[in-house]
Amino acid sequence: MIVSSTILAAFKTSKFGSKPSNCADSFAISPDRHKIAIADGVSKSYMPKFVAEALTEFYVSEKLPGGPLFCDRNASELLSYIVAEWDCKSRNFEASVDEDTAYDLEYQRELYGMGASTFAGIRIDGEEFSFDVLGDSCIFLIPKDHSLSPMILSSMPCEVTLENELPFKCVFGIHPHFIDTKGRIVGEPLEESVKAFDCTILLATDAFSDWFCRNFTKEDANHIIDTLKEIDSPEKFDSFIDSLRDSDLKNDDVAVVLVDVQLTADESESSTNDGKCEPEPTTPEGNDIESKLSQADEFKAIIEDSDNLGEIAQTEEDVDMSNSHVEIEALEESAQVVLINNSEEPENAEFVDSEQAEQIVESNYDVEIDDCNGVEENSVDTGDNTNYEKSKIISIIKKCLGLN
Amino acid sequence: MSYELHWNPKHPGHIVYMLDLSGSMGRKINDTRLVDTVMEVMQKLFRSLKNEIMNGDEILDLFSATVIGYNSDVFTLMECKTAKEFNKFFNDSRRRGYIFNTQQGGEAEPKWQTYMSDAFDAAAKDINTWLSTQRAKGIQTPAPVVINITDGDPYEGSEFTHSKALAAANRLKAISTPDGNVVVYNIHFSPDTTASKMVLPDTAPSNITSKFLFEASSIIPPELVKTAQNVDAWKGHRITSNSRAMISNETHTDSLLMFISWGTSTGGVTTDMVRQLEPIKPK
Repeated sequence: MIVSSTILAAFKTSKFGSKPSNCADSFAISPDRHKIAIADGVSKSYMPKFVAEALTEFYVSEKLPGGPLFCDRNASELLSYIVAEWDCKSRNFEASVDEDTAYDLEYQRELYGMGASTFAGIRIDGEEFSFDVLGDSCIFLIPKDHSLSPMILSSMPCEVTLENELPFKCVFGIHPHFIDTKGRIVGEPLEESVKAFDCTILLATDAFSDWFCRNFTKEDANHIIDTLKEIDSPEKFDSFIDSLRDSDLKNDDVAVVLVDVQLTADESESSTNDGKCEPEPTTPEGNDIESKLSQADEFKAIIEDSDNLGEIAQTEEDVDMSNSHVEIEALEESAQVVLINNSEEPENAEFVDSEQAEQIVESNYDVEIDDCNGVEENSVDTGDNTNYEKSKIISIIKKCLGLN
Repeated sequence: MSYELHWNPKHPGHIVYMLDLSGSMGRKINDTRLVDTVMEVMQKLFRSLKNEIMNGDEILDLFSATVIGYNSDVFTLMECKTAKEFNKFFNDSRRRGYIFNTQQGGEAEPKWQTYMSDAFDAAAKDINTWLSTQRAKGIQTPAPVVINITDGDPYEGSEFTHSKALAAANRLKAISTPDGNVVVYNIHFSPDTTASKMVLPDTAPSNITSKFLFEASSIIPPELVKTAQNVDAWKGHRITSNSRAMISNETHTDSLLMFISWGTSTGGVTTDMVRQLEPIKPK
């Protein structure tokens, strides 16, 4: 699969009443758009904007060797970089101001002793999203298939619920986690990787993230995204943010990056199945499979209509997105395949009894479940090591559950 | 709900500090005049406030501030209509070496009696002027804050004037805005007293001075109750949602600074001293 990303919007603006040059939020995007970062300087620290800038620059540059940002090896290089940048830029700034301001800056430097910032970054590595998040800057993943649960990544307390209204529940307004120029990483960074999928990704610093959590609804999932997509200038972004500040957006610096991610089949890839079934292309839009298929006859209709079964069977897949937990796993000997959203109990999840699936498949394809057809390498090991026919059963179930 | 409109450049706040400059404020305690101790506390507070309005090389217009001095006269010691003016005032005070001149002949020389009633009325007039100005500009107004620092009781001529001062305080507290009524804080600072300290009581004390301050003070805004409960110097005192914003018989300078800083944070602008006390606030 080829994962391509398109930047739909990338803006920042300072708090009302403050100059743009004093905006402590920062964002950066690598030339290939496969590394995107935002950061929010902690206001009660010294010259936080220089820390935020250094963080985002480092992340999208070649300076980051690879792997999680906050792992020991990378953190050491990161800290050296941000301390050097912060120190140099802050001293240049001090030299440029009047005597009274310089006196005040000296007081602040002594008072705080360091600069600090939150951080949120995403790397698209092959077919994976890798995240590095520290603090209350957040990353939201909005699947294009709205039957799937959106996700939020933050190192602060967050969760995703299945409420149609306001699925994101997050805590803002408390002392955030951050990294500072004294070499401290305060809080536990969130560093995860997930398989890439068609989605819209929103990176936002805390004020906009807080607002987004309070205004994003599953019923009207595209509204805010579409509004952001239409903004094509910093001035329009400023106006948009000002209008929100008249309502319920906190007066604070704002940085927002909106990314469209699309997966397409790599035509050069050979099919690894038995040739009867091809990998199903993932279209960015227009996937009309209904979200809630719990009836056997509905499954039957899908099977009868579907031309593209047999996506390469996957081993047990556990997509852990920290605060949004999506699992496909086989349970018990009856091998129920359960889609679990977030932390919901299985009884609240949608599930297909594999016996039902077997019956449906048998009636339509006359294939014995244990007929591997020499494609053992593609068989799926469930929790009880039951082998399933290579692609068909799992693909059918995935398709029924709206998973691609 | 009240007291939710925080100070910010879209809707700056307003605060009035009332400083008792009666003759008793000139008494020495441990070789330092009481008035100079209070001025040192005010200087620290202003330094912290200045830090809050600084954003890089610019000043955020978060508030305006007035300082009223009172003895047998009532006079304006400082009137800063914007945060920039406050910033300039502080810078100038740094250069001259003092906030207000408490020496003989200076504008803050302690002398005469304690016309607290007139001071409350002056604060009310100042606030009404500010409200009119903001409303004319169509700017929302966070509930104004008044902090009164005194070493004694209201006294005019040959008698205590608690009733008169209380009536004036009540008129001040009755000034309303959509964000809530004016919040009045009172602190009785007397390092040489031996009387028991009373901190943010929720029932009226029997002592005349404390009872007067209790009735002249507002109920603590809800957001500040938890912060107050976290102050080490105030632990052991019963602080509830019905507590009044007052302390009587305060003897410690640090606690005076904490009270003034805490009261100033009504508008959401918290100095570092108060920020350390803030509980986790889930939204």
